[in-house]
Amino acid sequence: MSALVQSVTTGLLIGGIYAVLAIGLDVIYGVLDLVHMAIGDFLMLAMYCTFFLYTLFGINEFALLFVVPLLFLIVSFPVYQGVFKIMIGKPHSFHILYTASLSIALQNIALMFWTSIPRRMNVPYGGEAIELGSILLNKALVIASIFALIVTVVTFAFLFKTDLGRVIRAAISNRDLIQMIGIDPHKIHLVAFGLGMLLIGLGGVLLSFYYTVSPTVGLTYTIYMWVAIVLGGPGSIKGSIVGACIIGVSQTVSGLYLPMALQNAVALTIFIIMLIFKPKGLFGK
Amino acid sequence: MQKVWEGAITKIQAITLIAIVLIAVIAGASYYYLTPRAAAEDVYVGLLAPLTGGLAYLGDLSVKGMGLAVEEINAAGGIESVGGANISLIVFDSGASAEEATTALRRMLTLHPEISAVYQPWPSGYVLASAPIAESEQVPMFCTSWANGLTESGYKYIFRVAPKASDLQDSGVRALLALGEDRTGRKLQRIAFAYDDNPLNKDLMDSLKKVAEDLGRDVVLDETWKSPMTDATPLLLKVQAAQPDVFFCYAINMEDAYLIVRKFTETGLDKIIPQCYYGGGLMHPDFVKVLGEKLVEGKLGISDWNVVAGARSTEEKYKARYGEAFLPKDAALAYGTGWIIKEALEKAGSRDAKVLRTAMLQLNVAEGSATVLWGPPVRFKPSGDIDLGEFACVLVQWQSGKLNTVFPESLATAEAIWPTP
Repeated sequence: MSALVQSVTTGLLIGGIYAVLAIGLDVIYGVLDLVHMAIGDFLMLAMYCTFFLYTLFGINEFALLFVVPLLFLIVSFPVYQGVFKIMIGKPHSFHILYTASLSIALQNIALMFWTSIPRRMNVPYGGEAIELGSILLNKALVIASIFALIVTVVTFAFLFKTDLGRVIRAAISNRDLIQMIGIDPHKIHLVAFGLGMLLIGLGGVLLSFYYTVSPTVGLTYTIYMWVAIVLGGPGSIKGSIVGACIIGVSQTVSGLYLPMALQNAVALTIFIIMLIFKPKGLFGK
Repeated sequence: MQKVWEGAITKIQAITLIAIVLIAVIAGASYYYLTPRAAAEDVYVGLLAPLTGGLAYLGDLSVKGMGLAVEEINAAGGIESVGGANISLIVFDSGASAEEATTALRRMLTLHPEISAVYQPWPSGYVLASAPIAESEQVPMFCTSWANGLTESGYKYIFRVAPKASDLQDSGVRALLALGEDRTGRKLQRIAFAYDDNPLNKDLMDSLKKVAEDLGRDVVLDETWKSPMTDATPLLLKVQAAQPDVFFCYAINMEDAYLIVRKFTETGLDKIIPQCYYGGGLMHPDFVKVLGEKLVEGKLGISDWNVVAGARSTEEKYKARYGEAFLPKDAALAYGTGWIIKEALEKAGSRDAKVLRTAMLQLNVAEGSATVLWGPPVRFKPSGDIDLGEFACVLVQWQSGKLNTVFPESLATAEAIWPTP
């Protein structure tokens, strides 16, 4: 029983970090209608950014929770203008080809500069555990998950309690509505892309507490993020969080009862079943 | 259909795209025709290793090791019996899958039909897929993969410069159990083994079961995972439930190794169950950098090679040439193979691949750099396996940030410390 509790808890902690990433992607997809297949590679850049700032400049890991997202927010504007704006309004098949090519390019650039050797932010408590009754949880993972929870709550509050947040949600629900009520869609695209990138930057720091980074990690996270938002229902922030937690828990619990080779297959099987029987996701409208 | 494409791309964007493609084609063609080629009289040796993807960090070591050997051979006058010809190394990326590796080998042999030999060290899946190509093209291919099938399938052109899985596992597991039982004074009855999805690992598992049966031990866990691993918690819980006396683990991907090692350490299980790893990430100089000295301390490993006293001078040359902390086994095996190919070319007196293959089977090197890794004589069995004599495996251990050889005693650079009470 304690093995199950340990697996579920670890899965929820991992899922909590995935949730931050999934919300970031959901906002970008929802507002910009952009099928972003290079999102995991931007996450990879955030993780490298975290690693280098921590290792070379000795910036505290908690300070990085502000520094890296801020950097991502700043670069999001030129990145949107220069790279993604061209794709707005184009068919999704174009988005997939364009961003998949971008993904390969980013991976190769990362490989050229930083080689394929995995890097990690070596926080002093990275190999320590917190004991909760009969279960042991990695201290770095617990800390990262607490911050992930705070980020999720703050993002939720921003989207549901502020005017700008409401506009973003309105844009997610009905993109045409924004233009009808006189808001410049270009501005709202910029804001949504900035928020998405900020969350990806934050997610990169949070993942770095627990995971290593190498140039090819992005694809895995891209898949997790997309599966999470499709499971939860595209456009539903609540759905993204639930979808992310389902992935996290299914990865750890399935490995316990089934051969570990099926660790990711279970999450993806749930995803396929969902697509067949409830294609709009758990909370999709 | 027409409407879907309408407005999808503007004329300016289309012209820009065409311009980019044209520039790329012109640049590629210029590079091909203007790049200085090796002199026609050179002997060509191909090197095929992963230079992109998750295993590129290990592929880079092969390039460095073989590169050092070629530099030394050419500086010493090249291949004397082939008119003092220099060796020209042709490096291709085997990519991140067996399909890419086979394509790369075909491309290498098509673009450079004059190649005398190819070195494709591993991963096993890639080498197993490439072996039929080398065989049909009749080009000797050297590898360090442990997969049994490479030299048990009747290939005539495949040469292995390392032990095969069954021999390595037989020697390694016996040595490790003997070491543990000597240090703890109790029988290590229960054995657990977990491994990634590398095709080599079935050979290792089958061999482990055979050794366990011979010794009357129980294999209490046989678990595999799809690399890269998401989280090591399920593995840890399964190992914990199996209650083994020793845990063997093969994780070629350093990220997987990191997750496993950390999970064992943070839960304190590393103080209860001794762990033994295999090659791959464990043997890389960056293993300690990524995991930190504290996490790697005491980790044991079964390997086909590690620095021994006789190879110290080679290690110094390697360190001076590349500024690395030590000579990792993948670089050493590539270096040794470079010199073995040189000796075979000397014996063949020809750059012809078929003649070289015949010379390989007659090779018996008693001195020189080719013997640095295992000592003399260097010779090959008709199966294509190198004759390692007593050197079927070494046990290694990370101690105070250094990777020491702890078995066999005659080669040990440090005494083994059993990691659990």
